[in-house]
Amino acid sequence: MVYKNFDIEAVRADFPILGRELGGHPLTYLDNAATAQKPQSVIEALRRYYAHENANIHRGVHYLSEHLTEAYEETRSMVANFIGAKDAAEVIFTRGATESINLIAQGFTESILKQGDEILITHMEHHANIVPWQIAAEKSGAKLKVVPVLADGSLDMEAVPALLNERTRIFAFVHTSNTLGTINPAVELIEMAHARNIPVLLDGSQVVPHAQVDVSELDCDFFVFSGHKLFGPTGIGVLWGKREWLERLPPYQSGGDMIERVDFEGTTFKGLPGKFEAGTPHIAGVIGLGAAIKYLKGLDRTAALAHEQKLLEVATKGLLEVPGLSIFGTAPEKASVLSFVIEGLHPHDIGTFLNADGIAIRAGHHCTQPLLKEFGFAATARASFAFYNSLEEVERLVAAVHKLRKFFG
Amino acid sequence: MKKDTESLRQLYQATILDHNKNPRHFGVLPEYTETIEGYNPLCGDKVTFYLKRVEGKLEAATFECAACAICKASASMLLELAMRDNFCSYKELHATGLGLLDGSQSDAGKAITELDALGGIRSFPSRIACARLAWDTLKPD
Ligand SMILES: Cc1ncc(COP(=O)(O)O)c(C=O)c1O
Repeated sequence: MVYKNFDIEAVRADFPILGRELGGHPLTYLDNAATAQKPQSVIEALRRYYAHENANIHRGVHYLSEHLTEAYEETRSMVANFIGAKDAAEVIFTRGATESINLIAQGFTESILKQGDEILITHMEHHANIVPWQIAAEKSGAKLKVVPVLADGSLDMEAVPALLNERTRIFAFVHTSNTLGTINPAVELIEMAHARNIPVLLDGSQVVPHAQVDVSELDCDFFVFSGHKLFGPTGIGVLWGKREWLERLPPYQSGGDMIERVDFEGTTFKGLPGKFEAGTPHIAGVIGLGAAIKYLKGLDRTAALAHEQKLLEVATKGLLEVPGLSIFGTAPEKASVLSFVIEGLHPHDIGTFLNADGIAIRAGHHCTQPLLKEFGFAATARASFAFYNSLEEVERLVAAVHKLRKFFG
Repeated sequence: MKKDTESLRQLYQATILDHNKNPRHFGVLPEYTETIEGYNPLCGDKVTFYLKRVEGKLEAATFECAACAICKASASMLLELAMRDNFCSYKELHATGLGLLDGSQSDAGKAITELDALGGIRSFPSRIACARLAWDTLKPD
């Protein structure tokens, strides 16, 4: 499949791992929702950083430190620009989406939540957007409320208005589900929440790898994602928040770098973003994330998304021909994430079998146990596609699933 | 290791496929006196044993599970062998099963060659936990 401006062979050549073999088979990496592979430019940026640029930032007068501080802060601006944020100081570097959500949930617990308040999430959240809120509810005496999911894996929009009420202090939901692929109508949901003055946290972990987002247009109050799902390194992530909200929240951790003045009589904290970045940050991660964003900027993302949607369509059609196979998550708006189950066959056995052909998929609960339980599954098999996956790889997947169906009889 | 169809066959040997399709002692034991449940939080595999004890001594058991083929077959093999002598030599059987799975024992000995199928699982490290679940759940007294 060749799109104008999108040459799949050239794109694949940018990702060294895609040329790997596994037990005599070409690697077919279809576990992109778990973590994405890294282009050579990211790998090279990390090498260059360690080999030529390493220093600590924000605290040196020497060349290396000044140079790196600049690169670090430039990346912050690059991230802001990438997600449509107007003010780079609203971009906080964290360890990942999980830490970003924990930062907000702990801040809310300390500064905002009171007995009788409500926190609203959805039934399709990743554990990262459930557990921190459960703990927040437990500590503050607030109640956790949940928007149900319909049979096709879309959100029950009709249930939302009644769940957003005068006691709701935050609505935290996933933009794109890592298990179902469902793309939630974020703009509409945010408008509904704002009509009642309720702030919104959007978990963008699974949207940024597929589509360009604009937090100013979305008008959410917080937006979080992980670098490693965005073709960058692990251990680095982003929390973006509106200044007025970030200023209301207390520091998350404390120590060096986040203070203005320390005195045993009292300490004053830095403003944004320093207030939330205590200690020496993951500088290499930030540099690597910057390289990943640069890579994506060089890509025709509209064409890349069209390619992914084609992969999803072909895979869906091909897999549905396998006897006894059904797809979990058939919402009309879907990212290239395909969860499936096969009658009489456990997802783990599917995963092991496909692995023997060099095909990497995920088998399990995908950190969404409440969602799976609601639909009566303990686990599903999940293939998730990135723009660098090819139609040949999809065909390989479909053929291997047919083969395993025969093997297990 | 080359994970081709050959080694898959080694993992899903006839014995395992058979136990998966036709699990022995499967279902709820009508006269059970207690249940015991094993759960693997990593993958969600769940095994439930229904036990019948007479004066404290384990005499019979059945199982149910929501689990993969390896886990199910392993539980079925465990009960098939244990029920042959109504759990009289369960301690030895249990030690052999775990020994095969952790590699400290290379074969199960003449009496229980069926268990040798468990040895094949060792070359699939991520699946050993599946095979162990039943054994870790139903420990000897
Ligand atoms: C929707 C969603 N939210 C949050 C997370 C957590 O991301 P991380 O583990 O990188 O912090 C994930 C990753 O699996 C995810 O898919």
